[in-house]
Amino acid sequence: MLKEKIERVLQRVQKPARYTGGEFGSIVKDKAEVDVRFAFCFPDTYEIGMSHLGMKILYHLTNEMEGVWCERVFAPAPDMQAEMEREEIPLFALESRDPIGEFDFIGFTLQYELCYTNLLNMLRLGGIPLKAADRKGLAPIVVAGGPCTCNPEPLADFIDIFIIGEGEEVNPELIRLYADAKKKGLSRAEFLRAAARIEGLYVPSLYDVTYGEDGTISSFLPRDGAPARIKKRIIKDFDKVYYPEQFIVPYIETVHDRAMLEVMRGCIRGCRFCQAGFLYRPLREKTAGTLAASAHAICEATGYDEISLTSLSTGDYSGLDPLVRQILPWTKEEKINLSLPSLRIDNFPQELLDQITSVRKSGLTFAPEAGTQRMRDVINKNITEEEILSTCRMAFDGGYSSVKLYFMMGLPFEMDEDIIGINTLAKKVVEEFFREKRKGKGLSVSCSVSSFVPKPFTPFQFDPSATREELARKQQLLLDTVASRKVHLSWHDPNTSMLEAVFARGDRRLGAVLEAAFRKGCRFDAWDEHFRIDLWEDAFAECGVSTAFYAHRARSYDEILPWDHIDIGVSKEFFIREHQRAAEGKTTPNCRQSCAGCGANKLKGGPCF
Amino acid sequence: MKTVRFFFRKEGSTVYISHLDTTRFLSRVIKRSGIPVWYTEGFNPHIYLTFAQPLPLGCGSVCESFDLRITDDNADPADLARRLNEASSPDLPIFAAGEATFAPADIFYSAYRFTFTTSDPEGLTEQIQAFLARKSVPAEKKTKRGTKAIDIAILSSDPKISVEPDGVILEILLSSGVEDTLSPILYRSILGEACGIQPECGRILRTAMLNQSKTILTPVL
Ligand code: SF4
Repeated sequence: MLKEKIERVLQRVQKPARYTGGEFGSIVKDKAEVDVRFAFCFPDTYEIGMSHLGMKILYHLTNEMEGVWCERVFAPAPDMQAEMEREEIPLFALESRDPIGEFDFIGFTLQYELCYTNLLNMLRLGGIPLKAADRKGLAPIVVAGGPCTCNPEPLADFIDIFIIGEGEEVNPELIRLYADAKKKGLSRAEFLRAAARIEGLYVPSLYDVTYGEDGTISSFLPRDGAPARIKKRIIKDFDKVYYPEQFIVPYIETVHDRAMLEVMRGCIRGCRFCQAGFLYRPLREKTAGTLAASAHAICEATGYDEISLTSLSTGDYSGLDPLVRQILPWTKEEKINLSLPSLRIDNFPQELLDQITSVRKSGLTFAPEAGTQRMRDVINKNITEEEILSTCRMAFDGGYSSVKLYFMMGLPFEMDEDIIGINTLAKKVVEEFFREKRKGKGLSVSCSVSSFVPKPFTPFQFDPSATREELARKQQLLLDTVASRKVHLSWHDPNTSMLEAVFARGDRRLGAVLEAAFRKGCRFDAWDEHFRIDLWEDAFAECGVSTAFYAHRARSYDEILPWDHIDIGVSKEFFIREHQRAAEGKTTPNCRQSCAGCGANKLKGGPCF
Repeated sequence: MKTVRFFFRKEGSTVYISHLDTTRFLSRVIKRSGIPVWYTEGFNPHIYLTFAQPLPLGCGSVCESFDLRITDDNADPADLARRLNEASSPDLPIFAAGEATFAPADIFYSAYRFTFTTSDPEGLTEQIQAFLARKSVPAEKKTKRGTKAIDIAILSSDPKISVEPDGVILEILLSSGVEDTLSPILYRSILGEACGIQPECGRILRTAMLNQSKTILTPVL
């Protein structure tokens, strides 16, 4: 009956292949031989979720476990949701088309804060009680992982267990613990208490929070033997970590539809605005040999004709040269394209470069992040104007005629000169192009200027985010000072940034706001066409919660931050030190140059380099 | 070098992928299979893949085909088909191969089988019969250059109705020539409207492609 209804609905919706399953490489198991069923949920559309490397890795890793079947679930687009509601079709997993309510685990990956209403929406469509406290019986257990779990507090009401750290390391242990609990007939409460004892698992219901008069946290205390701090788990030997040799090959075009090779995890740079740079510390690389073998296996298994090297900063991967030398011969033979990070262009052997970039000459992207050297020093983006211009020159010489530059505004310690500096720099890039007679006429320099959002576990976690008025003023300033007709400016909606700022550093009291906004109909908040700031503002007002308290308030160094009980390995003292250096405009060398003593090396149990 | 024609079915999940997505899917099947296929020369080499006729998204088929240039003249078509099929998904079986015996321009009709699920098979049968009896059914067809007035009654022929356990079956030939193709999706929506049924209650399967004298060109199952 349900299967028939789904078929009928597929005939009506846009892009039905988002919901069919059956893609090459997807895994179907015999239900009768499975003890644990895991619904891996990505709280955004199919096209976005299927581009996500972490989901690919964990999908295959989980399915390699005996007796465990992991399936995929994505947020239905609004047209599909309307059809599902009309036909009373519960949210289902793609592989079996069974409702997610029948699963043992419902696991979300949280990549950005603005997907939180989608998470609630998916639970509701699956018929799962929204609040963790309202779920009875052992199954389903709702878990969440991914970068946003470094501050899990806004979702504490809704999630049974947060996974802190790398899923490859923790998930199998969690699943085995559950299988055992199921066999023994443990209750939900018993299982959750046992889970809290596993390093890297955070069970929010086992903690009590109290707040002081000024609204900040006055105490955060564990119960029932839960640890006071939850320590991030990492893969220590990254070269040996599980990596799939098969990817699911989507029928429809997704954002990244190619063989992705994760060359390393972590980043040496220490850019002060970048949460990922600190979350994934310490840096761990794979060897060129491992990657080359992986690349070959994936291309053979999938039929992909494009390989991309991914990581936070692939230009810093130390094995780039040997890796490219190892894979170039067969990629040429098999007509497979290799796309390389653009940043490294300046110190990459020209002969290799010529062979690689022969195909794609469409566009170059580049992230100076700030318009002046002073501001780049404040954020520790260690790149000089000369480096930016010389990279552009090389790109222009190589035939590129469009450059996209990424900047931020609303950074801590920012002055108007820094905003104007964005235009000055863009103009210099234009001048660089016309310094020589060039064939490519249609030069275009686009500057995407996003609004900076302070994130937990960065030196800027203490700083207020710029108000919407301030951002609007700075956007106008940018417009007023644009200095070339070849320069195109774009930016984000300040309302979206404000909401992101609230949830990034929010606490448990935001759960009520989130639920209220969801009930008013907020979904897909990261999508301009769906974002409803009016509904959000109503929700905040109804719950009596101030957005300014979370978004625009400076925190003192000794405040108990909502995420202080999460231990990502990098110490709060380090962030305070880095914050002070930022205030002084002092840069910090990258981890390869010298260790800044952030503390992450103890996760590895030795020096980082 | 020789050209080999491969026949495939679209069933299950692959019913819901467009012609463009089918092309990309097959390119990857070919790549995975490792069969000796010819690539275009030049800047961005790619596999040269031509289809008898595109199939609209939402339709199944048992008679689709594509042609490939094979660099090994001694390769056995049946063996190539087997290797491709192994590299394909179970929802897109590649089941036969041989010479390219007809050209896309030889196709004048496609045979479709519509399955309408209904709680009242007799009533629906009567309604469909009444619809089929109409001498003229004017409709509008969307083209790249706007809409074009067509007559569905003229563009369809040789209907056969039967009632089976899963619904009312209509088998019919729709014009499929270069000039006057009638999409089965459009046909279903107009028929559905006339008979008061939701169009999505009808599954569509292309069963054959025929030439001008209504001789079947594609493999008969
Ligand atoms: S311990 Fe030192 S080298 Fe390691 S990540 Fe921290 S700052 Fe970098």
